[in-house]
Amino acid sequence: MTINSELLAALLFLVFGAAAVLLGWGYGLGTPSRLGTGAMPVLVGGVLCVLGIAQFANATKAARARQRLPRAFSRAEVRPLLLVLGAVLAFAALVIPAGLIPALVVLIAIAWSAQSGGQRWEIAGAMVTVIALIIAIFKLGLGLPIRLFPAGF
Amino acid sequence: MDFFSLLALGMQVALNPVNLLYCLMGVTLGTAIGVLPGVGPIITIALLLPLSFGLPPEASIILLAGIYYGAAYGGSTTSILVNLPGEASSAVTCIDGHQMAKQGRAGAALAVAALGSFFAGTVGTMLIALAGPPLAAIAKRFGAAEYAALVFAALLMVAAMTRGGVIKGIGVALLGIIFGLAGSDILTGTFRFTFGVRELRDGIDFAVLAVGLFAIAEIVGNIASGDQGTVTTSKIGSLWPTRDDFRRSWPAVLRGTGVGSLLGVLPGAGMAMSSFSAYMVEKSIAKEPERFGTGAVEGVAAPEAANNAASQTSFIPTLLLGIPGSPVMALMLGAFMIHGVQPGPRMMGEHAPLFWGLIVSMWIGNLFLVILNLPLIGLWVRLLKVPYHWLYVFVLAFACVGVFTMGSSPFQVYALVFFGVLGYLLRAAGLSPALFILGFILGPMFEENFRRAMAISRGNAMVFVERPISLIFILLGLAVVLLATTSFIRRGREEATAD
Repeated sequence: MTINSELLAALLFLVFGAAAVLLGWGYGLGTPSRLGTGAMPVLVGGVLCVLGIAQFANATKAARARQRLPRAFSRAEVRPLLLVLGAVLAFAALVIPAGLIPALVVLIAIAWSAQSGGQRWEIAGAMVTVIALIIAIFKLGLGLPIRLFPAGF
Repeated sequence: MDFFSLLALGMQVALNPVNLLYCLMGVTLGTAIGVLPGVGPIITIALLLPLSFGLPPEASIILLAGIYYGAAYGGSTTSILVNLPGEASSAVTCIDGHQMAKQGRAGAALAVAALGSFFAGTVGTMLIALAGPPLAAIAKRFGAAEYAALVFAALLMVAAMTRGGVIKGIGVALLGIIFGLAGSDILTGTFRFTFGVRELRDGIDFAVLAVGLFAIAEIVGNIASGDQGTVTTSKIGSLWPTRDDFRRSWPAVLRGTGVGSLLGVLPGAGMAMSSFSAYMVEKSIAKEPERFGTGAVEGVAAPEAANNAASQTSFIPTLLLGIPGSPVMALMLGAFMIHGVQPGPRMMGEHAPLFWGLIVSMWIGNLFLVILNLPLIGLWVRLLKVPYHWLYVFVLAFACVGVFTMGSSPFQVYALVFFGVLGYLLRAAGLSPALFILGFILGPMFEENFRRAMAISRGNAMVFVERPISLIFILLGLAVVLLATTSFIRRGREEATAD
């Protein structure tokens, strides 16, 4: 059975709802006149679980009726998702040790390949434009203390 | 202080050169993103939240508000010229606006849209100023029970209006509430859902959450849906509407302003719903309804006036009650809170310069928009030629640097990845990330008032139905959910593509 979007919604509700109930229980419910830290998580999580079950019932009913539901994950999205996330991760890892400019170069290089549309030569132009704009806004405009290059340069 | 001295106070703040500059920047940016498909006010405001830390509260709120109502203006430009709505709120304008453009009357359509919007914006701004003091006086008498019931009703109403059904709508709002509860419990100080992470003790950072949910998932979706292709724009032609255009459009503008002002105040209705409703009103009262769809000027005037009026009046619940009625307003509320300003009935007294400065600046901003939109129209059209792969690379770089500068540690950037994945999952499941944000903002508000009301009533939950105002709110919320399952709203919702 492939995961369709209705089923995914049900799973999200059940997983997060159950987690909220379990964790909230540990925080203590308190008494009605002095509701504890865990009362709201348990209440909200409980309702979410009920909605998750209802959503699950809807999804399976639709599946049994052989309705064609949209698939939750389309293959066209996997590549851009991984590349965009990879670009952000690379930036996070590089920005302190290597400085802003190298981190942005790597971010743009990875993110650029997420869409097949752009010409090869354009990437250099995009890098220069984007980096210049970012430095103009954050460093010159807002005066934030960000190191542009690795320490020692 | 009387009304005019308060307006004069607002003038002083809004006409301060620095604030004037931020207002101009806001509406310019708003117009730009309104024109560009694929970048909307939600993403832009989310991206600018980290930046607004560094600005004084007046400047940053004026800037963000300018983006919001500026986008409603800009969206109409692409609807008319390219038949491509830059924003959901201008989707209806495509129908007759683009037909007018095809007949070589794009200039007239743009002028009617801009002037109608200006009129509606002015009325909307006046309404906030007039409704402010009396509404705040009523709201000041609300106790904890009334507030809890109001938040409950607002969440149900927005959830019911969103596409995808009531179960998914309410569910995703609850999901947002759970994330909003993370951090230290305001009443006892206990840490919740922090998993020993020091950075989570103050709760999940709102700006990081918003950027992750909207920017990352949106970029991935846009790349996957593929080529935007080249767009062909219509010639603009003369900017002067004919005398006949004026005669037909001014009553339409009046009606659109009325519809929009009313729907803007209601939680969940939003700009898209109001422009759609205004169009339907025009069509149903027209003497020759068959003209609609073939370039009727009323079909441009009414929805454009309506979405702009709604964009102003939607500030009323946000500013005066502290309850945002739409996702963008939830972001605005987050921006206020970043600056330590809690919107609500007390805001007008405690932060009078900010409140009245914002109102006057919105009127000035509307004036700027007419100037920006009519003579400079050619400039905006050229923006459409920016290819999407340049745009998203910039948005991504801006998001990362903005989030990084908030804490000067990469922790927030890693959190951005987490919320990017979550945003992608929500989209894949057909759940609205905007409702998630609304739940995130309203959840802690609900919890605080709910627990306080329970404490005051000594644990008697009947307090919520025994107090008349609270009972009315609860019944209202439930009634909307019931109505949402009937066909009328469902049809309207689907056609209006709620924002």
